[in-house]
Amino acid sequence: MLKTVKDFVNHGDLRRFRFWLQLLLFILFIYGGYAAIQLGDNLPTFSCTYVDGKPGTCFLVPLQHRMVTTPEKLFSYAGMAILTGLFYFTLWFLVFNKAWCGYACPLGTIQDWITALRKKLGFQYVTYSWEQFKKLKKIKYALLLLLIFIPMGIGSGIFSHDMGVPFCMICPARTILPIFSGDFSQLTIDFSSKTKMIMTSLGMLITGIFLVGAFVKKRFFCFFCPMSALHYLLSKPALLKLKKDGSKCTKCGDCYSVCDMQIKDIADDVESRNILRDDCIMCFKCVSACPEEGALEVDFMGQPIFEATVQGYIKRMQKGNKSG
Amino acid sequence: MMNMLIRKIIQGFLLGMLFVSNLSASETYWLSDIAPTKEQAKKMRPSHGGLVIRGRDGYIKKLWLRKGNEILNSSYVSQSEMPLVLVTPESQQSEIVFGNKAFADVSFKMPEEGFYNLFLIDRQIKDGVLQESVIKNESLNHSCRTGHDHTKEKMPPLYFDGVTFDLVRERLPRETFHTHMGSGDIINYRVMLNGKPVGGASVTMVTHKGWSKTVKTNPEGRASFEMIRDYYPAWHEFKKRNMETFLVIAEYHSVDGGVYEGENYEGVHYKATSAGNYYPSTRDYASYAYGLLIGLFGLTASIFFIYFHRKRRAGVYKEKRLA
Repeated sequence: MLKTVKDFVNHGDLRRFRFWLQLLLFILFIYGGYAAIQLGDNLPTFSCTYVDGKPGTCFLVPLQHRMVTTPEKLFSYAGMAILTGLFYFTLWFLVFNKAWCGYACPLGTIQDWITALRKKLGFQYVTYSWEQFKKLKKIKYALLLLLIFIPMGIGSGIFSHDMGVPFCMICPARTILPIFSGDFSQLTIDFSSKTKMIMTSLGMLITGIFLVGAFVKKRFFCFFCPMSALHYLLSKPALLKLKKDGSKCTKCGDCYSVCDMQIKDIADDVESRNILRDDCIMCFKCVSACPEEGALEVDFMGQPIFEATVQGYIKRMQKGNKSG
Repeated sequence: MMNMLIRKIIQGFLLGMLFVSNLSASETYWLSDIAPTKEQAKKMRPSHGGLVIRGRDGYIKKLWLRKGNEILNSSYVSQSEMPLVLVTPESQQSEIVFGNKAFADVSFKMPEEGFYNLFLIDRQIKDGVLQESVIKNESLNHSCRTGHDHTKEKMPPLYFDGVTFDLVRERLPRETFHTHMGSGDIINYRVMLNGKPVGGASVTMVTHKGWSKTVKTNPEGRASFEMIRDYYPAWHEFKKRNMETFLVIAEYHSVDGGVYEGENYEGVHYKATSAGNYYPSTRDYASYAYGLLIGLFGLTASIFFIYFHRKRRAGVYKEKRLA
């Protein structure tokens, strides 16, 4: 019985499963609030606070809000509020690890849909060179630091209160996701102050770049996402893991060629058991593309739930050939 | 069920009150969070629910009793011995009194999230008519630090059946604890008499600069107003957080006679006041045209960048010869 279930999963069509799960979670994170679903304010994904029907709020919003305080308060009750939020965020995160990015994030799903459109239109995608990759991947950590220190600067009176939630101001989720519930109000420039004008202009500029970027580069924004950086800092004790058995790897490079995030280690590193890297979105396309029995596997609490198999690989390849 | 409980509590309270009125029946009184002096104004800080004092344990609301039916010309009452009833978002009620240091002011802590309702009720007979005045204030307490899970359930307006004549502000569509009422918004009030909506009551809206409009309530007790724009500063002085006050006055005359404190009356004149705050409309300072223009610029610039980047990389191979 267990073997039948295992075979069903290992030989299954991950692409179709992911498409439907992403669609379902997209609906949940855009319209769930209308169905009275409430998941709290500390979600480890872009459940955008600007969306009217949100079922909960992205953790980066309360984090930025709570950091708007003086250093004295930060080390007293305000610090407690931040720690409490971080605790709930960690609880959510520990279960699904970075699969929040690959399966749940509505902005990630939109990028996948834009990629699908590009494929249909027959445009070639772009990739970063290794040098570019190494430089660009640091941006998300810089953004994470800025979204912590700018609110502290607001609290200390260094920056204007109009900076508000600085990352949200430039995040394309703020401008794009509310459109799905009929709210276009975030597509405006706020002229009420210089700071607001600059921040909202930057937000719209990044939205334009995002749309083109996501069209030509798979998961374009995830590369710069500070939520992804925060995830990686907490990913070690997570229950869901991506593991590699280097002794079974032939370095064929199939896993690297399907990776939306261009993670080289997935093919090159034959030493590490835990192969999760900071840019990984845990989409598990690498596992489904691996032709070596047991070379890559997805574990939940130490139990393999999806692993690379020869039969699964052949089945998926045949399906891929049929569908063109 | 909750309303019944509140009704009983407030009725019990009101019956037990000894009304020592120092209010003039012919005047309009209302509660305002605008401080009378600059020194006091310095202590007030903006919050999601108007002006508050930030205390160690949370926000403290401070209100002043004012006389007059124009915002800018209303005077501050110097003293009042009348008790007030405070109802918390969790429906706990308590009696509070005015401070009366320099002005009749009242302060209360707001430890709970949601809407606090404060009532001052005055009854007196004048020319054989019972004059019943309800001076109401509804104050929101919200801090984003406490999260937003609980906010939706606390949004609906509360109807206090125990208050004979009540003026209840209905919520704006999609109103949240973060919503500011703005110029151009349609705001609805319901007038309730003995817990039931009353049609034909006259409701007057007075804005900060003195514009006023009077309408009659429909059979559902509802009166609607569109907040007008009355903030026209020079552009460099424009402040989107410029808070202005509006005052709503509801009046209704009933011919039902009776006896109040041993004195006969031939009819009752009900009057309720409630003040609120409003801000400039986002339409005054937000532009879709510029937003879309900048978005389009980002989009076009990215397309050109990628096009030329690809063209450069796919350049024609040129053989290099060594000298």
